[in-house]
Amino acid sequence: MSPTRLWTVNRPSVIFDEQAGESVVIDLTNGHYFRLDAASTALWLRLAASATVDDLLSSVENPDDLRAALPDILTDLEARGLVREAAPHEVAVQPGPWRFDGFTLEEFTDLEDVLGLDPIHEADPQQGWPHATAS
Amino acid sequence: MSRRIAVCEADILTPQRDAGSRAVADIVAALRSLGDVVELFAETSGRLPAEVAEFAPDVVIVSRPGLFARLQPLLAPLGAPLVYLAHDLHFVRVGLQQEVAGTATAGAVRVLRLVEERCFAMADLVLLPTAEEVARAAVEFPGARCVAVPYFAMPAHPPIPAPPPAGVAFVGGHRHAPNLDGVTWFAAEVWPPYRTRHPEARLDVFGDWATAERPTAPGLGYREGLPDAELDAALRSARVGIAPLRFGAGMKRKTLHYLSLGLPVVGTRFAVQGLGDGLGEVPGVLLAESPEQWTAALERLDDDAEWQRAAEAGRGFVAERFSPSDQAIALSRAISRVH
Repeated sequence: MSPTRLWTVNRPSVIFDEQAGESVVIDLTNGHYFRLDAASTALWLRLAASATVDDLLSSVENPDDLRAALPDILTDLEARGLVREAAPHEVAVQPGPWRFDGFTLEEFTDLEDVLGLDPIHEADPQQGWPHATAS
Repeated sequence: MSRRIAVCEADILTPQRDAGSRAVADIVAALRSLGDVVELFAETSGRLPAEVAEFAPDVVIVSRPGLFARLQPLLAPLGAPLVYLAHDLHFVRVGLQQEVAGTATAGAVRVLRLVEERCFAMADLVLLPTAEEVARAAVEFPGARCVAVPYFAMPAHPPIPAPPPAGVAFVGGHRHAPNLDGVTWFAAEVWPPYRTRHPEARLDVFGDWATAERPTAPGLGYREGLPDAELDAALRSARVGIAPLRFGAGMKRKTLHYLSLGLPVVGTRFAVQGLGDGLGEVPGVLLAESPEQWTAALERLDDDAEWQRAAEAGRGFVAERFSPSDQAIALSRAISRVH
């Protein structure tokens, strides 16, 4: 994993809100959402401001712990579509020094039907959308 | 001069299966009736933004919060005003679901509010179905430009003789949480004691219900996939339409539908939400909350004279307030605010 690759939150399809140190992250593409505890939020907010691995390691109090965990975290977040490579203009001011105490995503899917794609319905082959197949 | 209006949905419309699709279909028909050139676009095509761009719309209407939040960044560069078709305040409805039924979480309410806050902030205009929700939105999302328009309209049908008292009807699918909760509650709490007093009674549930989600009880049956004309005929053979909704938001199409057919209604206060003058009363609807009130209201409509009065009052109410032409004019006026 490149130490200089610039990571950021996958806006605009991912939005998040931080309250009292904890966060909720929403993937608008599928309606899944994630609860992040305070420890996880510390890393998430730094990714939201756009950061390289080097940036993260240079600002954290316990870089050895972060160095060991970060590749798996970023791989997982990217696979879920929650983070992506940032463009240079997306860099914001990083929060100050911090401590890495782990990262846990608690995933919820109960709003999938409300926020994600509606259940797939087949279109009538003759009339096309928006006509459903006769049932 | 006609406007070119793009209407965006997540998928194909399924108006026989969900009221949201029905609302979009009605709105499209209303705008077309006034001469607007309206095209529907589905996210499932995989190239919706390009298709909308090729259509060159004057106005883009996007239905439902998840879709609006996803599409807004992709459609805003087109330069056409973006109208958010909210359907209801989802976070309010799910918040009530959490309180009343316990089948939703505080986390879900928070997430919906966040997404809706984004939709209200990004839209050039928000169309809500009721004045009550416009007032609530003004408090929750100050600065948003909201207007109330009827999401549903329907012609009032000719009167019919009172059908025999045995038939009770419910319209709505299980995917909408208030329907699932309402029918489940009614089948467990209201129907058994009522049917003990009226063993001939039958309850027909019309809509899309997965087998696993269907409450069962003596005299309770399910019918799905009926074309509009067959559904209307089936409803007109029932004595009363019910809306046992214990939470909800927006406008209840099922209540209007029953009334338009001359079918008196028994329902909770959520059955008439957004339909009356904010006083909680709608002609043709008997309100009931407790099982005892439900039984009393259903039995009241066993009386032919009472039934006729309620049926006529309901049909008159729909004809006066929810005609298709009035809906079309209200929609056109609303959209003229942005184009």
